Amino acid sequence: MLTVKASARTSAGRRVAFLDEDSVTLAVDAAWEWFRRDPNARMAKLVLGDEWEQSERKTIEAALAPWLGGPTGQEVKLESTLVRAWESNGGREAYGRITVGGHGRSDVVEPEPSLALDAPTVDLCKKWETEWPRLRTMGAHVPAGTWDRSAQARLGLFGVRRGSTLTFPPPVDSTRKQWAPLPRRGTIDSFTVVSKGAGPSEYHPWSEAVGDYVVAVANLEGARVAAPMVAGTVVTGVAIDAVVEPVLRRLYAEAGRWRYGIKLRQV
Amino acid sequence: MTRFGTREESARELFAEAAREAFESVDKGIDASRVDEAWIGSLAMGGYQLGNLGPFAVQAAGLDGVPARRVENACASSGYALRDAWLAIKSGTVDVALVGGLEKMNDLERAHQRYWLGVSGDTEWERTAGLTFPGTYALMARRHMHEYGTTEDHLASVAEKNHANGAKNPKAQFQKVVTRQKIRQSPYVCSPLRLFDCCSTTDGASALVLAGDDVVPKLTDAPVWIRGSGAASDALAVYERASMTRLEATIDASRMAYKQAGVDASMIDLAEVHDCFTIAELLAIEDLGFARKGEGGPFVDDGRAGVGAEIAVNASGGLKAKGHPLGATGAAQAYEVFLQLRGQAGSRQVPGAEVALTHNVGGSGASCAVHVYGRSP
Repeated sequence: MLTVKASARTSAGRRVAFLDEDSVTLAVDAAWEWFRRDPNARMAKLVLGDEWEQSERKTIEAALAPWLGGPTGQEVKLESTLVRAWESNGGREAYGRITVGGHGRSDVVEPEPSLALDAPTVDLCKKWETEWPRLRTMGAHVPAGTWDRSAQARLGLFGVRRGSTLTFPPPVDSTRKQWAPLPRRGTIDSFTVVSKGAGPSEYHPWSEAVGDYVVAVANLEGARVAAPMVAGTVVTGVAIDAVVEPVLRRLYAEAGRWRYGIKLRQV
Repeated sequence: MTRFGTREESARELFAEAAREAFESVDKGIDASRVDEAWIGSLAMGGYQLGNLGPFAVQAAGLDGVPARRVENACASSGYALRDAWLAIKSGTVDVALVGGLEKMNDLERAHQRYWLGVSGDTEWERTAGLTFPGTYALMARRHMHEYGTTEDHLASVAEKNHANGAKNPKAQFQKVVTRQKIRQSPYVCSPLRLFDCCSTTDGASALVLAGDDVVPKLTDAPVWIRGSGAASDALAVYERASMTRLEATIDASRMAYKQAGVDASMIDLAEVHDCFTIAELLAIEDLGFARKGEGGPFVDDGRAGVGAEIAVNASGGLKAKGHPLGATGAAQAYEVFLQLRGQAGSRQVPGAEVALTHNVGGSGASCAVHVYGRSP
């Protein structure tokens, strides 16, 4: 089992561990995760923030409908929701609050990590998407075990601090790793717009959904990170020295399993 | 070397062809039994003959029984094979060596091909960020533009020059002049790199005969001498390096080679540099010391890197036009230098060439081998 220490703080002070897609499914996952953990939970309320477009609301409501009245234990297929949300938002990453509740309580799930070390742990290995195309890898293949060993860095958005230097990814010789969260702000050192078909095949489904995508190298107060930027960055535009923040997102699927990691979003 | 391009022949046949020409180029003749050992560069693209490629190649070359091994450092494989053989000869344990490289890239389906191109980069953190090699070099190009004002037109000038040179090379994959307009109008692969900023996938093989000082007089009266050899490594991932606008491995390897050869950059008449992407040639021109940092673009655009100009860079057409069969490229660069320093390069001959250099890079700069050659020792 893979344990993850990434979390989102909710309005009620509850920490909800979440798994994300490009925002829509991120929040949906978070809500699902919350209810999955509480056997007595009954989802009685679902309120979407005003920032969601009407079409996105419908997508999310439809996705969560099976859980109203209690978790059914069934996974919800969400790939199509990503595409629809992206299209409905004019090619920009959808982003907003989802309030879920039951038993007299309600929490706003903010789809961002709080980088809290004391957050609940989540089993990412359960996140299988059986209908995801089984593509032949084109260079982004990392064995599952190797990937899991780097979960703290990838999913917790943590680097390793040595004195005043923050290193990401963590150096292999860090026998006594002093984990430190990546700074929440940085600037772009360079970027490229990857045209359709020019990325690793693992990225093709995402590319099919959102078109060309941006990969940037960002300097997060000394720690340099290479990461894709969230969907819609091509539309909104990007430039060297632009301010960005690291966010946790689904990257791609390999052998039916989601791979989560850092994306960058312009602030 | 074989003609580069899309070849129907098998890897075995291609290497046999390259080795045959290498032996036939020995002026006074050589018997295959004189070869002591062989070093063969190859990525073994597609996994075809991934194991025991050394014996596979020497058998194809008619050198049964000769100890051989595959040397692998991505696109710098046969540059390193050349260095390893040179070191063995210098150590006195080998008198005559066969150095070569081979790659069959075009008989793979596209996705399989790209996987094998991808495996030489930093898989764990860079590939997983959605990058392939055009992307990593595009990051370097964008930063170079930002820091030094390099333009897409500068990049296009590299492609234009190398295609013009390739048009004069009967062994080049692309033997056509390409206009700057066509280059600038080609689609982006990873911006700011367009289709014509990228080299192609290529089949081909190359081979060289190396001999120790004592043996040379028995083989030829017009040898080409390796005067210096340098090599260096750097971080696999571009973002892990101190700078995205220079390749430290190139700087370190060339420093070593220049020192051994007793020359500096100003003494080089022609250079075959690793232009897998146009930005890579600009970085090489700067990092090898032919132009000051940031001035590579204007250097090429002003015609200073043409045949007969200040220094002839990629007179063969480079990887861009001649083609880039990964493992065969390093030895093919040496093959061009061999022709040039012996005055056998035909219509692309660099006039009065005395000192030459080859620059062979693996991945996006993680490994590099630089050699300096002369008409005299």
